[in-house]
Amino acid sequence: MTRYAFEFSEQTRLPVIIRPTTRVCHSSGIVTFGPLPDKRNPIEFTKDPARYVPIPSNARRMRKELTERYAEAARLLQESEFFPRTGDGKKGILASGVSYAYAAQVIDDLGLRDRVTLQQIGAYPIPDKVLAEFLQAVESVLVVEELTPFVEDWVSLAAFRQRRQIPVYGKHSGHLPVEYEYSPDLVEDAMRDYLGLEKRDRSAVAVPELPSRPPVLCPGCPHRASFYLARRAFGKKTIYCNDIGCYTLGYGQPLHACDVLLCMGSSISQASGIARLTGRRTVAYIGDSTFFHSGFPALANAVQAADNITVVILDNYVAAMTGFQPSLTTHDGEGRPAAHGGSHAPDAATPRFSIEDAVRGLGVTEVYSVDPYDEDSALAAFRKARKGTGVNVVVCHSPCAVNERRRRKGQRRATFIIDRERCNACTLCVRMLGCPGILVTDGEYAIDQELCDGCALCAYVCKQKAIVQATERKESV
Amino acid sequence: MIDGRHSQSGWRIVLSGTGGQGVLTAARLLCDCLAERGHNVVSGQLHGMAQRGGSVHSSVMIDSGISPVMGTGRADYVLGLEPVETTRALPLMSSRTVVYMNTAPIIPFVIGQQTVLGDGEAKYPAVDQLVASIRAVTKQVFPLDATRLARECGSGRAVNMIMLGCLLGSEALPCTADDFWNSAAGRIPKGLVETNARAFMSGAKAGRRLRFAAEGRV
Repeated sequence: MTRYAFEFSEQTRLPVIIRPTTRVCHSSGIVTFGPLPDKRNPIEFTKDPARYVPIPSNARRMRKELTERYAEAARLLQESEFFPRTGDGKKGILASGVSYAYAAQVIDDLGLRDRVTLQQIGAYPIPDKVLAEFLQAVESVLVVEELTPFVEDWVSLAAFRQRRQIPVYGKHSGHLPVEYEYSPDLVEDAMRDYLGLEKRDRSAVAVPELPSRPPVLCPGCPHRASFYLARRAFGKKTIYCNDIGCYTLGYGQPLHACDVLLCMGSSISQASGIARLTGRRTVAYIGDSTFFHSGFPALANAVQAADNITVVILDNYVAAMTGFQPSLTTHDGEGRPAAHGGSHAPDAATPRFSIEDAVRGLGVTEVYSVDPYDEDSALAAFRKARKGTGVNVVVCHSPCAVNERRRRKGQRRATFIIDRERCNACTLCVRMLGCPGILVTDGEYAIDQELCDGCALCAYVCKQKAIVQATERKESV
Repeated sequence: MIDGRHSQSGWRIVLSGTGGQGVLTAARLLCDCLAERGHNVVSGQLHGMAQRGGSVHSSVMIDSGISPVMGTGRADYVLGLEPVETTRALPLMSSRTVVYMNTAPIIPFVIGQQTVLGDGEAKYPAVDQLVASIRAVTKQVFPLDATRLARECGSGRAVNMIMLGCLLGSEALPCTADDFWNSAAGRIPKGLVETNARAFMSGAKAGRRLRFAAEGRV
């Protein structure tokens, strides 16, 4: 499909969106590779301003061309392989996205091929001919698609235009919900209802109550240290605006590092707005990649407006949440920046990106550069920032713990253990940090030696000095 | 013969565990091996943030259709790498399902945290009770301490290989334990091959033993 999309885009001069939903992205199947096309690099740019500059005089012409190309696109799609129809029953089912796989599977599992005609809608614009032929073949339609009833409304309209009285079931009829991802069970139930089959009894299976496993910041995550120290300096009442990344996991117990969140880059502008309206200094947390993506405009704006905000940039040298893609501060451990797909590999002459220089360039004069695992210095910087006026920035540099482990290839730092003699079960380490490596069983505190990353933050927090480095790494708990 | 298969064609397998146990790696090795042998394989992963300690469930469907997600009661085999996570897969089981489950728990840290913070009463259920709740659905449950076996083989992290060994050693799939290992060995990082080989063979032995015991009983 992706290959077709490229060819289709070339042919129609239209942008094509491949739209994989969550479930598609978390599934795999067999892909047969075709031949790769000849490389065409370097591509010649042929000047054609009438095509590439949409000023009004060109745009008027382009709008008309677009309508024509759109009709051409529908014509081309009609001949494509994305609208297969199977089965020959009078009960029609129209399905798109991963729901098509569920519907096809239910038809297979229940042996419904002779009762149902299944039409896949695999691309947009939906060719008129596809719907016309489908509507001719069936006496009623059930539309199975996730979220907005898009295909459902489209087929109702197509039936109306054909003067065809035909019942269309789906979300409007209450067979299927508008909300959430679908499942094979949900689709099966709707299909059973639609086909007048007996409901499936699922009451036989009783699942006992099970503890949940919510995602948390990893053991050794430097964000935990930054959040803990910033909160010690700024206190409970300060409003913390957070952003998009692993550090969103600062939400809730026990770090409480996320009172407000909207979208990429929202932390700084929301902090500005809240500071102006409440008259109190607010904190914005933003990671390195998100800051490079959309932090600059809001920060420049805050500087010009002299907003009372502290921006904490959590620089872990990588876009960790989405799978360790390089960011501008990613480096190879020897000072060389990582490759970013440019025309030549980075070398000693390639400048390393400096967040501090960048924010100074935007006009921030009060900039602190800290390592959150140098806890006392970082805490001192946060305290100074709290007392500052206008915009100040604290940059917390420390590598993503998981990425570091991958780089160290299994070589792990010495872990920490709890000295039961000294531990008085004061609960501070658990109450303050929420590290999954610290276990509490029947009032006894222990550190999971397989999870512990050796970051030593808990040892810093412990007032009893009960958390100490293990003399040798133990293989297991 | 232990056969978890339902009347439908093909084999449907669920692997369940927690982040870091190697559920996704195990599923991938299984898919690659069967795809190489000409089977049609579809796989789906249900995980929030696998790196971050959450539940990780994966389905492997062999020659059984196009859906990457399994419906209620349609699992032929369940490989449970952790007791609570095995029990979480209960809705996918039926009276025909064969379940190999590790009895060594990984206690979610939230339990301790909730106790300390006083904001919840979550408890880790008794493993016996978890096994019993699965046994109420299917009699073909085979509990084993896979974590101990894995440690004996050199690493507590090789639980996924023990469990894969159980499944393939029981001759449940259209490929033998040897076929699988020949395919998987080349995909495992060199430094880990030896430990994983030991774990897989140990699991295969356990799987065969469980199968013979069950056949003797039947």
